[in-house]
Amino acid sequence: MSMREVYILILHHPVFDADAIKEVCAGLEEEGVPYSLQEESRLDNCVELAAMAASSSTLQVGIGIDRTGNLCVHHEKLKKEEPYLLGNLQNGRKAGKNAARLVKGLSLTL
Amino acid sequence: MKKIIAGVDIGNSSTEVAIAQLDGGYANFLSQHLVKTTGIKGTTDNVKGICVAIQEAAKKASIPLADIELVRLNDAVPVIGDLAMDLISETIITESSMIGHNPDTPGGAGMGIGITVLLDQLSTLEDKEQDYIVVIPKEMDYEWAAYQINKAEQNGITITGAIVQKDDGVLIHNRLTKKIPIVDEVSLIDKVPLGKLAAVEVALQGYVIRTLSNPYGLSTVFELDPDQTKQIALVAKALVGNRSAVVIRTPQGELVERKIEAGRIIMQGVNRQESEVSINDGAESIMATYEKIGALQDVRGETGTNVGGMFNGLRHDLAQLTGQPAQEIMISDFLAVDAVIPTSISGAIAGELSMESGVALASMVKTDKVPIQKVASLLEEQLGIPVEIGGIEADMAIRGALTTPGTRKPIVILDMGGGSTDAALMNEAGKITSIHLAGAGDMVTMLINSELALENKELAEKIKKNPLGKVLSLFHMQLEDGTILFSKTPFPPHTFGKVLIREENELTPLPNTLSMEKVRDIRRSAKRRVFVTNSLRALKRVIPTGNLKHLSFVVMLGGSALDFEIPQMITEELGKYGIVAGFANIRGSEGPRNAVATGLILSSVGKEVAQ
Repeated sequence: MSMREVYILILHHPVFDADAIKEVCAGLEEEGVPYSLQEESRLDNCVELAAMAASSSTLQVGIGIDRTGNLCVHHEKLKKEEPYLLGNLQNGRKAGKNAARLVKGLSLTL
Repeated sequence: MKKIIAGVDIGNSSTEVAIAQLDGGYANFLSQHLVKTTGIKGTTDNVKGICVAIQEAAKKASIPLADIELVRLNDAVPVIGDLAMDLISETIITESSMIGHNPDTPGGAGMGIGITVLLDQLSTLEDKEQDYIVVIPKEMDYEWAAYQINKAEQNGITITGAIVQKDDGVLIHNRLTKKIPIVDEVSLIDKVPLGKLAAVEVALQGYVIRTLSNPYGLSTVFELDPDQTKQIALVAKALVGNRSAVVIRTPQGELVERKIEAGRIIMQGVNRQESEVSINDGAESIMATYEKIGALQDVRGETGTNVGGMFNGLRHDLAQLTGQPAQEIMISDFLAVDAVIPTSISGAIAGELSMESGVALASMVKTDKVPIQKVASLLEEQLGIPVEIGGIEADMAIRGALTTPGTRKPIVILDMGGGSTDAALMNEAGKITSIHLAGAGDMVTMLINSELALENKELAEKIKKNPLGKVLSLFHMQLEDGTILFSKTPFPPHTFGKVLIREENELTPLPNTLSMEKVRDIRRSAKRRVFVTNSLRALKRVIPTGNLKHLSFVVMLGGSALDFEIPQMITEELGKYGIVAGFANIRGSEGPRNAVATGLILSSVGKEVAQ
């Protein structure tokens, strides 16, 4: 169900497999926003990953997860060095949910 | 001879100062300043605020404090007000539990009826004739929950709905083989009674529930007789407008309903005439009865009732404020306004509130003469400048108001403050009649606080004073009038998607449950109920004929005349009577502020302003 025309792109470091990112995906699914998972090993900074994800995401919102499990939610229209939300995999559900709500224009859980 | 003097007006909520240079018979205004009144109006606590205000005004005028030769203080009106609010009646339900809330993402749609059972009890069920509603606490993972439900279905157990503690509704729903309605984000799930008959309803996105918010829907679901239906009607009412709900029957045999007698208001006119009115008749009828009585001597509430309690509370507060014994407090005016009061319902699991009708009261007492002389002496001591007490407040206010371009005698001023609404009429001959009425800005704040169930007076005050907006995207905000505001910098995460109070330099987000339309409607209605009602009441009292059509100029003053919508409401209402009503522009520059301070200076020269 992850590959569709419109989606939020999640770029993650290869140390994590899909199962490790399950909670982020659950947050997106609960909100009903499609997503796509891709490994990316060239970058290892969650902000850069998220910015890159956002720029190639059809919904303009991207999530980046680096080697240490730090997580960032970014938007294509924002400056690369000013990410919108930061977090980590431990509260991945919240991050996924917020990314989806950013697309839907709904208030976030901070 | 040139002489510099200061006029000081101590109001209920703000203290205003004007400084002017007197030259012959003319006053040349140099500066003005406003601070929050320190302490209760007319007490020596005020001196602190006055000193700050005078110093600031002197700084603005670029003169040393010592150049001020005289300070003129207003003779504060010896009235003081207080507010109270209570339900007309109260009913407590005990035979049903309910959850009515709006999770953003419930699962599925439709209606399910069955016996409540915990998820981990599913495998032990044997009765295949019975329908079940499954209860899923937060320890249960969504995949596990979906697996268990699917397995139970395979074993022939019928599950018709689910109640979930976490925000997992859609996740579980997506994994079910047989789709059911799921209410999620039920934080107090351990309060859900197990083994009882329950109904779960979820509406499609953009719709609201229809069956559980309908008393006859509930009576059909639970097979109730007419008496029981009457009892459960309150549950239905509390669920109106929700997208999802759960109702659980927990019959206990006996039904407890407590009704507090709302009671009657007993008004006593100055001519010893007495009138009674039941508070159940509503604010309009109470105020109509009051109008028939005319001038009020005192008012009481029937003992042992809600309204009795309210008036006793008011009397007690006012006694404390004025230092007079409670039995000597005579309420010289009151304003009753219909209000909606959020009331918690027993049996509500998620803290749902039922909006019950009630009444809000503002009342006012005349006190012994305010010890303004003490304030004057202390001020003189602290500043080292002679202080004199000027004329009557209404007199000063009218003198100040007449500096508004386009006004002339006869004129009526409507001073809308925080604690009271005052009106004064000056006829062609210069004779002044004045009146002080209970109910003003503070009452509006109280109504907003209650009707939006904020329990936060400061937030209510902010809502009262500022327009709203809603952040739609990172760079767009929708305003109250539907127009869109573009921002060059992105709105911060804590404001995203939220309804906000738009202050000058700050955006304050409101709770998610409040929509922009609802907040705006309640804000405007509260202002209308207090200020439009009170301005009509005040004007009728000051005109000798009592007929509003005999008025031509009404000038609004005071803090509430600065409000972004109250003056327009009154202009519109009074326009119906052919009255020119608008907020003042003191000295052509100060807006509705500084009228009394300006009047205090003008009264000492007797001439108009020199520009």
